[in-house]
Amino acid sequence: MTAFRARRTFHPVDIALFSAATWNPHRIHLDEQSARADGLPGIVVQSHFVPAALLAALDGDRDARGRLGIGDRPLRAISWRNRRPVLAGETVLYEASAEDDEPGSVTWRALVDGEVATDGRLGFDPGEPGGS
Amino acid sequence: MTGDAPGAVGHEVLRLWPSDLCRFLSATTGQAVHDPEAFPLTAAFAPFAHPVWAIGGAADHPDDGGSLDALPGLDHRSGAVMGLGQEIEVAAPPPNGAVLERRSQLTGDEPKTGSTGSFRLLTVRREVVADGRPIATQLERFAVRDRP
Repeated sequence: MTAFRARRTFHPVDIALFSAATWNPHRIHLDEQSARADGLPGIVVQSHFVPAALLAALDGDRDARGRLGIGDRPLRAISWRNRRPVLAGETVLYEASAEDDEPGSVTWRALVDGEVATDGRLGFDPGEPGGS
Repeated sequence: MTGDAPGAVGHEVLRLWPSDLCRFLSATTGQAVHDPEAFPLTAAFAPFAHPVWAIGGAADHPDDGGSLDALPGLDHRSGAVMGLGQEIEVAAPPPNGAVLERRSQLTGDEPKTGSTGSFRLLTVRREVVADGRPIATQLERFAVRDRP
């Protein structure tokens, strides 16, 4: 069951900020012409930005963290696969679900227009649900 | 492939400036963050935010002085580089102002053919320590394709 949903539209300014913060000067994140030269249809959201925005949204949703059974427990691992680029101006729908048979394990995906752009897993410290 | 790239190790030293963390938090949260110490990150997010700042996009890409560029002998500049996926294990967030060391090692470089054509699959393992303390490890996969 999906315990968390959130939407995020990636603005070009936020993408540029993220590049600045992570010292990532690759032009496909900053300049549309350069992105097109690499065969992309537009400015691309950084791969790390997609899960970072998920975690930021999850961070502010105590109820969802409770439903996922992770409370305030620390994140220990994160993984994902990039299925298709997320482009500047696109709106991502995040969905996250707890894995019933593995405490602290959460699967997540980011969809654009119903298509999976990124999917992966979060691993939090296992423990009693709701604990911190 | 040129030079001695297989098994090549890159080593970079970075400093975690509060202003960089402000930009990271502003971008990810959509809020203007001026004081990362005052921003209420929970334990669920803080261990990710800091290592991603440290190991993150930090320039995995060609022509831009990125961390792939830090791998001696790796010839990737003529192609279009795209990240395929990540596996990150985080230990603890470093304090602001910490000196970070990031070591990158090329652990794989093999030709592949997929639905979109042929490409080189690069695998890079990175380790980040702050003031000598482990912060995170990352396994990252890239596709390098000919530019259209």
